[in-house]
Amino acid sequence: MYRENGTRLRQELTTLLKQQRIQQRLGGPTRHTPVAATTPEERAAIGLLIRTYRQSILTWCLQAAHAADPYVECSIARAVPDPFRRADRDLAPLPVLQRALEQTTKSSKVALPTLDQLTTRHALGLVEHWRQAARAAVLAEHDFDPNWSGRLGQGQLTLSQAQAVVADVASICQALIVLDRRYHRAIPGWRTLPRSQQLGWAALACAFDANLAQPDYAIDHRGWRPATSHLHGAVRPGLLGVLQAENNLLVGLRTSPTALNLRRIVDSQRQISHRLADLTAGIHPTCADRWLEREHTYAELTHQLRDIGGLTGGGGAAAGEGANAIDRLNALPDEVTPGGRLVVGFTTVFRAIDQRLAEVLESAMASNRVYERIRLNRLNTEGALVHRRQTRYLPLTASTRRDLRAIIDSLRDPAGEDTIACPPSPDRAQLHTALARASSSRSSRTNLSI
Amino acid sequence: MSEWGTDMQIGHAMTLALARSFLAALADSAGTVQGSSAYEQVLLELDRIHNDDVPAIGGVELLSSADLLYAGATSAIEDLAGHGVDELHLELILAMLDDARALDRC
Repeated sequence: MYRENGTRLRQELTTLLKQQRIQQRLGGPTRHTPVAATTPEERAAIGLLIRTYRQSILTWCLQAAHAADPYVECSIARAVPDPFRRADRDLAPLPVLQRALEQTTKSSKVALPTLDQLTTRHALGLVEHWRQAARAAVLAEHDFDPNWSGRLGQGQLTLSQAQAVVADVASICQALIVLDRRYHRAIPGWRTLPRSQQLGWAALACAFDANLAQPDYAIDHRGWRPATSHLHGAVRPGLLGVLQAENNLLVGLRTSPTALNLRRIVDSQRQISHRLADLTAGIHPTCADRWLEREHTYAELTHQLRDIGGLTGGGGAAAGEGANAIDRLNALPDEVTPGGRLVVGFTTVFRAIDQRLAEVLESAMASNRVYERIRLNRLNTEGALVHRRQTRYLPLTASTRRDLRAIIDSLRDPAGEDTIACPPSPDRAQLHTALARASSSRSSRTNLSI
Repeated sequence: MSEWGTDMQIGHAMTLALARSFLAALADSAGTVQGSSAYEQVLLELDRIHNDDVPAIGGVELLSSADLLYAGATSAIEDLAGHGVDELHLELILAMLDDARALDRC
């Protein structure tokens, strides 16, 4: 997830910003220990390793800035009366930050860290912090992977979430510049970030601009996450068994179902939503309403799918798990009520199933894997002696597509869904505090302009 | 008659369309979600034994009374035996239909 890697990255940079006396930490001579533990050549090699790690952080910054780009306009730009024209891009600081990051990354002349460098623990604490930061940056690249369907960017971010990404990139760039200035004086052979001044001003402008709007930190809950796995073993008792079957249904949906199995799955979701809404009505009325809404959506879908066929696909296992879930739910006594954790579990798995079914329907419509049955004519009206075969199947008509599209939209964005307000995580504030302290220290003030 | 399934005579297709229409109407007019779902399962089973190669619902005037709909569905399903559909399958479907009706009434 974006939060895990982003938090790790910021925490490591915060720790590095707090660390002064770099030469001493690398085993160099100091006033109290005039005999150095490392030679200047060894410290130069360590410096090169740190710059290698820094390069992967810069690469992540560049990818994140590109992912946020299509959405972010300048917060102070005036609205353009013509909806087909974008706001004035000249005012937006993000393209400037992108250019600065591209130039800095390209001019750094340092290779990205190897797998050994990323995974091997380093004896020096300072280098180890850099390694952890680089590791987080490499893992965070997963979130923007173009081969992954749920990637951030490419239509998956809201404007406010993109603003949050830009604000994160800006603060990380500022931290890298402060550290660059500090290491320049302490590490032999250290090469400063190319065009760091331009990068610093662009990052500062982006940070200001992002915070003029209201960044949405719900981005923390998005991004790559491991695939759901099958829950093997004995059937769990009570409602956990239903949750187990629902989870396994979701795993089974990795294969697109045939039209018949899709109808079975849809019907099972309708029944499960209805029964769970009954069980939770007394303790979680909001949740019960949401699940009743889900039942209505699936009832409409059941109605629509009766005259839609398609023989390609699988989905037998998923349909079977749907039947298991209904059997387990019907076997429970009426007085069973799901606890808070179970409600969250069902909400999560329902959302994932809804999203997946929306994808399945969209994909089936786009690739014409499903067809529409048409009504039979009892009488031959052609007046010919030899009757032609009647056409019984057609590609989906415009009206059916429109109806299905409306249902897909309800599955993707349910009406009763709560919008969770996500406060910024404390590590963002800690990084900003460390940046402010580093910038206000005497050594940084003389050299750094941001 | 069919483009990719086995050929189906017009009489078979019309009876099947009638049976499907009655079952869909029963599912739509059921008083409970469980009852509606049980009728839907009967419809799914009828489609399954025809390998999902079935005509569309509609094209016939449906009756409003649940009893008449039930009688119509039973009659249409029984008639399918005359079109070469396995009688054991049909008996199982009729048993499912009875169960669905009982569930809807309770």
